[in-house]
Amino acid sequence: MTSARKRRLSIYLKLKYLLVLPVIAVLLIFSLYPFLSQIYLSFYSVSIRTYWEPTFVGFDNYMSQLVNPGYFWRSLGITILFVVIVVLSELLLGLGLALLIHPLSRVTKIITSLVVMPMFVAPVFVGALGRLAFHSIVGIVPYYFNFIGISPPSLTRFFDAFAIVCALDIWQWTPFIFLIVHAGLMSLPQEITDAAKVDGAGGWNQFRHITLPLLRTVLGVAIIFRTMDAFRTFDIPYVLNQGGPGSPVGGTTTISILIYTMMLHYQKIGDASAIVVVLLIFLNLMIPRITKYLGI
Amino acid sequence: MVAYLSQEKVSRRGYIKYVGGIVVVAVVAGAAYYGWQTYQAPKKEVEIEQQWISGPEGDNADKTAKLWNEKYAEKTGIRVKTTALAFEGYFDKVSAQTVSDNPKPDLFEIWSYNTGQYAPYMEPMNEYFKDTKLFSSPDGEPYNFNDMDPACIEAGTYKGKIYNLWDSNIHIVQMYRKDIIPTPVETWEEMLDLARQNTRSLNPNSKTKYGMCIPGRADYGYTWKAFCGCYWSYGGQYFKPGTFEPDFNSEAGLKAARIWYAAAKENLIPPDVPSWGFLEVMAAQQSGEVAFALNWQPVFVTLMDQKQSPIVYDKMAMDSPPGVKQPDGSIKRAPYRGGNVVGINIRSENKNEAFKYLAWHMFGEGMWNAVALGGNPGNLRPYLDPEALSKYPWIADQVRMQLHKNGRAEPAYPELPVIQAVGFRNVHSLLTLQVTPEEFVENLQKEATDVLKKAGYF
Repeated sequence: MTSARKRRLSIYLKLKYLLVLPVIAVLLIFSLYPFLSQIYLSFYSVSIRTYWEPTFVGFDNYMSQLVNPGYFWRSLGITILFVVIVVLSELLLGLGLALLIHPLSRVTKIITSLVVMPMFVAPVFVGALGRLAFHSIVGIVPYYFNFIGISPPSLTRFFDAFAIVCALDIWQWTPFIFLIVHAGLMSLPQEITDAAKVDGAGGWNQFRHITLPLLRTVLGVAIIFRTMDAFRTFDIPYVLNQGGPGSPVGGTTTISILIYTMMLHYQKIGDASAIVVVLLIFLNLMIPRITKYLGI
Repeated sequence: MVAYLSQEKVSRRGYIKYVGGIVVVAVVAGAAYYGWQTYQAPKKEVEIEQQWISGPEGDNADKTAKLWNEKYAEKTGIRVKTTALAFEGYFDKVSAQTVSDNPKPDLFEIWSYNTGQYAPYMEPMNEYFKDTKLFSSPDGEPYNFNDMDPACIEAGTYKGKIYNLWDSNIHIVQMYRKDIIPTPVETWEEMLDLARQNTRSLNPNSKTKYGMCIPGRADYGYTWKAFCGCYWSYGGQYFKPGTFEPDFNSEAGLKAARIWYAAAKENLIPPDVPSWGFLEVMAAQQSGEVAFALNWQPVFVTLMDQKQSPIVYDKMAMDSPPGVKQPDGSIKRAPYRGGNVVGINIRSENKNEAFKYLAWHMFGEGMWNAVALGGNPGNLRPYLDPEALSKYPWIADQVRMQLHKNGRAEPAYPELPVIQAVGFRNVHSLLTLQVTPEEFVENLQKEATDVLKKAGYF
């Protein structure tokens, strides 16, 4: 290598790093710093009033959330149950919808735009709508349930409240899975399906042996995205019934609601930070296993 | 760019030109930004920002600010801008604003029991009251500090410093259908009996579906405040005398808890009350399907409005909440009393101007304007003025119900909002029948004790 070329390469390498420095700085300030702050605060007893003068308490916050009274595990259990139910339901419904609409090539665009409409509604509004719709006196859902003589679902019964939150989430986010699967179906090579038809493969065999294996990666991506999103759920259950029934960990108290409640209602910023740190460790252990299982 | 730079034939001049170009652009952009930041148009007026919770008080404050701007902005050089934030999550926003040392807003609303919590972020006003240039009207007429209800001053005081001024009262009162319940309900037991008579599932001839209604939301102050009125009337108190040790697991606590529990257990309240705030309770009354409710006093104006409450507008009455019959036959009532209060941001760059406006709003023409718009202030003058009593029925109601005399406020200390959170969450659990009254008082006592012990109170 000539010396001129070596010089140019050296300048090029330095310039490369110099030019990405602003992006790295932004990432450090807005991601790493808050993350480190959370870890720091998790070892302190701190409220709004004492924010600038916290008291070091060691692992007390962790013990409080994990052992006594151990709100973290209860809320995590509710969150995991919620995630499993909604992701599975959305996957089945989204896949079913996509398979149904896919052959209807002429009207696909119109139907797609109708199907995805719930995604454009703010989750807060969905929760507020749900609260109004299930109001025991003026709500439309109890009205029709009473009309047909069935006891209406109530936001103050554990199973009912949980089912309502799941139903609203499924209504809103099934179109997301539908969109991803639909795009995946559009990209499948038509020749393989045609060959299978020629060989006499029926619809179910085509789906089981051709379509599903080819969609595996797409479905895996959809599951990962929805799982991450569902884990963070806050808006719908909080606006609907503040994570209740029951408190501080009620029937629909997701982990995000627990963090919020601890931080702003109970003024236990340290406890909330401890939950965040434990959750981060838990997710870092869980996500690689899920991606490995899904083959992504 | 990288491809261009990595070409063998790029010369040194090429590099210099390219990097130089980036540097020139960066310098020009930086200079423009700096100039934009530092440029200040010559100021004729100071604009102060007041922040309120959107709702009746926020609307009221905005209209009062507009009156000031029309009449006094030019004269005083102080212009007032109102920001109204949503009720949901208001205090989360205020917490973030105060902790981040934001100089805006100059004035912000909180509730009286948040005084201790936000004291580090509010400007003490004791010295401002002594300055006659500030504590006077735009025309120079001095205000009288003693016009403000001493209880209101006390609620806004923490460790001897006055941090906020009381704009309007928060009371929990009874609102009932006078066509069904002819006279105000006197005792809690009577309330349950009347509720049983007026619940259709127990009495098919009942005019209403449910006999009563109370707020029960898990994250809601009124859930706890409504309960406090019952608890205090049974003789309950926050702390054991002379200490900061909670006293909730007392006989009074148990009696009050049994009343709330019975209302839920016997289906005297709508089943989703545990997810209701004051708006849902009001909506239930507006529907005509509830005979009696405990709710925040200002909603009565909506219930009396023919357009907003066509079914019940002419059937509603309001009074002090029920109480407990004493051995001498009198009724001991202890209606909850709190206040919407306003203080000056300690980081504000316009503290004098903010106080000048605040004093006008609380002691002067602004206060009277707020009264005319439906407000019920902490200032005592309207309640002692015969013209105001005849002109403004909501003021007359306050005097009739003796809310000033009987109204009881929570003790002021910084952890109060956290104790309230413990309170309303436990009351919510009681109304969902997840705990018995005995478990309720034990849980409440334990959690409140933990909070105060951790804070070093005892």
